[in-house]
Amino acid sequence: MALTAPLFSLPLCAADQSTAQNICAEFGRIFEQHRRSVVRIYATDDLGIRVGSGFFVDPSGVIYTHAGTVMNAEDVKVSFDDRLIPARVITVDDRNGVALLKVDCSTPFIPIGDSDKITQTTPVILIGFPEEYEVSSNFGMIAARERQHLGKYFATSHFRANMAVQRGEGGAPVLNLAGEVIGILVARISDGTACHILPIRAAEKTRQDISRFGELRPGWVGGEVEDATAPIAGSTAQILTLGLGTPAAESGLKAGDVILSINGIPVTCSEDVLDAAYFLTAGDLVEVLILRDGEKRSISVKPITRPTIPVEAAAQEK
Amino acid sequence: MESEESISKLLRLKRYEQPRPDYFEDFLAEFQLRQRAEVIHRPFWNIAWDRFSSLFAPIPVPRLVTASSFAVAVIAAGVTLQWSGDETADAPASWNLSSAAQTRLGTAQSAFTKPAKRVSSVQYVLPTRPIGYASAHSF
Repeated sequence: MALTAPLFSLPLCAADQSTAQNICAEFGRIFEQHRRSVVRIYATDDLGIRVGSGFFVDPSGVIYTHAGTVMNAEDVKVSFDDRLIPARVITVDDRNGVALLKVDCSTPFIPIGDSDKITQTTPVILIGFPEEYEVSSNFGMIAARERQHLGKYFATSHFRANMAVQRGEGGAPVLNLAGEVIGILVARISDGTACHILPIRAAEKTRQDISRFGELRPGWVGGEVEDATAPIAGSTAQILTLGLGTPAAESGLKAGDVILSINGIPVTCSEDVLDAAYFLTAGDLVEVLILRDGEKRSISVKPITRPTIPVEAAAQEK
Repeated sequence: MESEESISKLLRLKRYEQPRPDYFEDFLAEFQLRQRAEVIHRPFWNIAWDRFSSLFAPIPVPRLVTASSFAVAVIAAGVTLQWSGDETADAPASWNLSSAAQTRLGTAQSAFTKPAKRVSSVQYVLPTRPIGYASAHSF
């Protein structure tokens, strides 16, 4: 028995070894392919120097980085190809925590992936600059899609990944095994053994606003939702109130309507409204599919920029 | 007249007046004790100046010249120390890639020497919570 055991275990060990080697080789290939596209960001202000990571997303030198690195900075520089080159801050989005920078040179870039296809247990690779060290790679796994942290809701869903991260890697790209960026590292969890990743689709909303309008235009229609006690047509998201004079009130939406989808994004509960609302753009018509009196209706609403003062609720009509 | 007689009487009495036997034995020790006590109660700068003057005593240089030279040396040392302190505090102005670690190490010193000036600290960014939050029940 003692003699046969190694014979049976040999083929399994060889297979395991081969698989591990293949995975490592694939990670190494992705890292070598994109390490030049990942840069270290230096931002100076009155308090000192903030250092983070970032990456190029197009060949004209546009960079995604962490908003906390460049927010209110007097001077921003990027280390690229062993040079320190000045960068211009295009925008800082305090909704999703990313910033867009621009350097005036042609650059390599990481292609954008589809973050909607990322599911639990998807393996991911992070490339960043931890503290004062050189560019490094790390490997982890998507643990879940989260809507809140410490009792507060994110502006949109974030990935939670089981991957050790370090300071200085804020703004680093997270890639899938196809070598596409599917998210941006925005926060570490507790001691850095896990992290929160902003899906790249959410970050792209910022870039699209800038390329279309030259400014951020998050949309708002002025509706409040709550969860009904029982689902109706598969959804519990019911309109509670509509702000007086808001686009939602003027479009024909009414309190008591059950929301089934917003701009094609399915809604099954009030929390689903969070992700659907994040992608609204002020000025762009949005289709809201509702259920009223047992009948499905599609209502067009034109969102506006969220006002800075609270809006009075309109009279409730049920 | 009466006063002359009283004075002469007093002088006669004093002629026979003698100190106690151990007075002369302790005289030298008592003298040195009082001398040290006087030195201790003098200000520090006075003692330092005496010691410093004694160094130049064999050299035939006027005292005013010695004092002037010493003052110039003290001022020069002060100016040099002040200058080096300013350079440490202004280190971030000449920031480059290779100076990250040095600046990081120098943070504490700069903060203590020049708290009012720009503090050269390096903060590696990765917060423990995302920047933006929203209400899940409004749109």
